[in-house]
Amino acid sequence: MSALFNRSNASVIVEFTDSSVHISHDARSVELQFERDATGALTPVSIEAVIGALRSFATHPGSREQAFCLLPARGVSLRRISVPANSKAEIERLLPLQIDAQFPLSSDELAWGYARLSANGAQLQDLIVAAVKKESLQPYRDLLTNAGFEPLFGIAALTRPNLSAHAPTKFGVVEIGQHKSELVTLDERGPATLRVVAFGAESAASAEPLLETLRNNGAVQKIYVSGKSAALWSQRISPGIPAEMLLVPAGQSSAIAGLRESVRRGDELLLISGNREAVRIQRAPAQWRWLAAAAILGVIALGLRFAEPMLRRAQLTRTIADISAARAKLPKVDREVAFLQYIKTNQPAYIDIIAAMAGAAQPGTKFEAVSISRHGELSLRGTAQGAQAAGTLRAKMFESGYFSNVVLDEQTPGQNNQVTFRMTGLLRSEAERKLPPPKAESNGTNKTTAAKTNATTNAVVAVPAASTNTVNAPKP
Amino acid sequence: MTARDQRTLKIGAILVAIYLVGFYGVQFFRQGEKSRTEYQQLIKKAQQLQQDKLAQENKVLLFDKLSAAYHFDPRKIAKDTLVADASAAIQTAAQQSGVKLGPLRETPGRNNARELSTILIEGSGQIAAALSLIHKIQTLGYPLVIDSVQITQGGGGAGGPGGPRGGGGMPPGMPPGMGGMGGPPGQLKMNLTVIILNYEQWKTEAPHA
Repeated sequence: MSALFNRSNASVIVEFTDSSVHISHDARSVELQFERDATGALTPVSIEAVIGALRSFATHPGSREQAFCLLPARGVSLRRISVPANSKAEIERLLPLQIDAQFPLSSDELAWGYARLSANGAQLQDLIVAAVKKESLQPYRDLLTNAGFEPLFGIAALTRPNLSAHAPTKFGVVEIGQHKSELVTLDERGPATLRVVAFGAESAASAEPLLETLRNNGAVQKIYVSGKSAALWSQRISPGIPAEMLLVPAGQSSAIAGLRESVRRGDELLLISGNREAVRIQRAPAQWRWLAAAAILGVIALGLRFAEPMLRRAQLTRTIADISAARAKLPKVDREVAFLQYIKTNQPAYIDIIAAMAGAAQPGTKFEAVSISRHGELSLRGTAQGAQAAGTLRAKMFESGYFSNVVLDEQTPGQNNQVTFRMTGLLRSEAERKLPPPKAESNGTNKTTAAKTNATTNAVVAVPAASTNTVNAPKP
Repeated sequence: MTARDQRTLKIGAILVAIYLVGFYGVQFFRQGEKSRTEYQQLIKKAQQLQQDKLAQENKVLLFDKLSAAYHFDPRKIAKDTLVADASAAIQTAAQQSGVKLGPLRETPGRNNARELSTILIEGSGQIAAALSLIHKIQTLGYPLVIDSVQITQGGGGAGGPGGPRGGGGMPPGMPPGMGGMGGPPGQLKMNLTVIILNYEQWKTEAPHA
């Protein structure tokens, strides 16, 4: 994501080796051989040839676009330095002092750059610092400037490890040159050492100098080989150390491919600069990318809003058809059900009601006539033993839950303590019967009812001719 | 092509692109919204259909249950002979229950109450027989509703004079606590009013039971 929104504008990459230059821009690559004079500088003819080749790669002539320039390892010093700082400003303030202390030349005489190493848990920030003499940088700067580019200097050897996928914690990368080779070793935190080994594809037949150098620089678990005859040299190295050829896209150098991979991943690049100001990489304006991302997300959101109707409409239509078909298969019984329910709800449960009355009757009670109607009216006539028997019967009828508004129409004392009574009442509907009566209230009400019943019975006994009392049944 | 020309072309292309996106975008959005609304309506329709289907299934189950309980299917009622059949069935049930039948009167039912006929039955017998008859009438397989039940002390058989006789022990089959009506032990006189419902009227009217 970071790489997507912070992609560098510099798309031309130039790599200088001892005897050649690789120029690459996207899929296009060129390799030019050049000659150096006795001082190591490029001959004028070679300079002209390189400048000409570079100009052909300029995408915006005259605009001085940035180009990465990868330098050979010769003359490059690599150190791990710890500084008590975290912010970039603090690092760049403190690091020159450390460079002055640890490098043979002062920071003013060096072109240097740094990259953060992965944290080691301590308070100090560990950095890998690469430095090279300022004057050794100048020929390359002149060359690129004359070709219309602004150079961003990096170290070729430090970009190659980016190509080593699934590398062990300690490993090395060797680039086999014509006469000399570049070896960089890395541990779990990043680059550790950088060496130029005096053997090459044409100068040696044995890998012993390389192995000797590795022994002097600490053990590595694996070594990746690139450059000239890499396959042959990896076979030669294998008996001493596990070796593998670095996979490089056809027509490109390993350093350029490594730098591309690093840029793609959005890694922090180790760029060296001759002045104190930090190297600023020109980047594509990010706001357009954010706008594009927002537009894409908007389109996706809109698409999701409309995707469901488009995708599931057919399935839903099928479901509706299935439900309709299943419904059509069901018989139409609305009127029949209503008719049967009418029968069910329009006649009382006569047998249950008679059983409830029988349950409420005390021993010695006789019902002489019982009449029950469909509309819920009840009337009964009978005799009972004892003055309070009719009242008790009524209370128990309430308790059964089948009756309400039972009225003791008449109660007449007779011979032998017998009482003749006549009652009317209403039947509770099935729905009312099923409601559970509240327990606490029920007890209290029953007591009240019993008390009232006693009073009523007493009153009836005192005035036998006209006594009509209504006692409401306890409402559930 | 000069830089100015290139810039003009770029701006023109951007404007055309904006116009196209705006024009077709709005159309696409409207079409999408319409499709979405139709889809939502389809979902509601599916839910409604599902609920209707469940309700219909419940009605079918209820119909099966009630049909089994009352032993009849309203769709198979023969209207022409319904009163005669029901009357005969009631008399058979009374005999089977042990109720001695007395006068039986049939009167036309009230049309506005969707009644076909009303049958008044008088009979006498023991309480168990009376209860058995009541139970059987409800499950005879005809659209019968017992309008009223009147049970009094038994007289001298069906249609005989009923009157208080006093005494009376516990007749066989009497619910416990039912001390029994007066008269000879277990002899009761019962009057039943049974209504035969007119299903034809239910078919033509909206159900509002």
